Amino acid sequence: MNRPRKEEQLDTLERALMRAHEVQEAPHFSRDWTNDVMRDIRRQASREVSFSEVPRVIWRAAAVIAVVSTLFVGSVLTWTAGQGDADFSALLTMATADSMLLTGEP
Amino acid sequence: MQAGRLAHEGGGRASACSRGRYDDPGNMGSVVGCRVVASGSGLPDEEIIRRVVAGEVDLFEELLMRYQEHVGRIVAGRVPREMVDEVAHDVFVRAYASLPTYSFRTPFSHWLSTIAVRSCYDAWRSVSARKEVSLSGPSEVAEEQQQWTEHVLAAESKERFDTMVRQQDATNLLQGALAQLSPENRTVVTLVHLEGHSVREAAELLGWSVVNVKVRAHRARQQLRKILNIVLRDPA
Repeated sequence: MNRPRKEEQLDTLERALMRAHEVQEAPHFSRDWTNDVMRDIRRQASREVSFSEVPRVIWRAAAVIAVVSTLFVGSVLTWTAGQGDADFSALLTMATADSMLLTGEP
Repeated sequence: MQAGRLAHEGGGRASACSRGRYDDPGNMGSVVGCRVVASGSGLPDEEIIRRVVAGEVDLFEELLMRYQEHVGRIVAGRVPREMVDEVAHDVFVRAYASLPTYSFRTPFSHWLSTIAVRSCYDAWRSVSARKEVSLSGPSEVAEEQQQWTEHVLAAESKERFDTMVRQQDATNLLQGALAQLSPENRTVVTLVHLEGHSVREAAELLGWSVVNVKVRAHRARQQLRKILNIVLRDPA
């Protein structure tokens, strides 16, 4: 007889706790709490914007750097190539002159 | 217990739902006749959400005001009073972060409920990992709670019973008993046994498999009854 009574009591207690959960009042949130939440959200929003801006800035910078680098390398190559030709011509002239002096031929 | 009560309970100050149940547990969004009427700015939820996602962050405050009672109720039923503000705060910050993923297929209140339930579960997991909460064991039932148990068992009328369940001792005893369970079992027992959600609804709210929730629901209830049995066994 003890067992069913115990089970019955357990059921009653369980039902009471279920009802206690059901009738629990909603908490009241203060204005400060609302402001705190909104502050965090605005902070997060500004972080998101700055993060989303990063790739665009990077791509723009990369494009500018690529163009400038190409121009620089191109101009250096052009200049170096010109210098090379000039040096080679001068060297050739000097070598011809030396050989003429050595051989005595005109 | 009304199945699906959670998602529309409160529903925010401005929600006007014609029924408090999910039409189809498989599709929690198919609530007919539930249209959220705007308050404050006069804008419906959908419009606010679109504008917030487009960058009008300040409009989120309107959603916060509309749904803080709804979220507060869910959170208060799951975490100790001292954790309610922090967890509810987390719910709204998470909701804002996930807003671009909101598909408009389910009512916003339901989508928010899912975040709230999962945030409470996460809060319990982190608490149990840090072992911050001193879990009053079943052997440490307070004198007041013991007396409350005796009075509720002796309650002869429905009115007396209803008065008893509204006392703080009832909440304390329930919180103490739930604190003995693992975060997973606690979450499942709250959803299925205390709030009357179906296993499938609970599984969808938690993002777990139906089998997992079913097994846990059974085990958790057995555990809870064992704990309550100790309360009954303790002499006053």
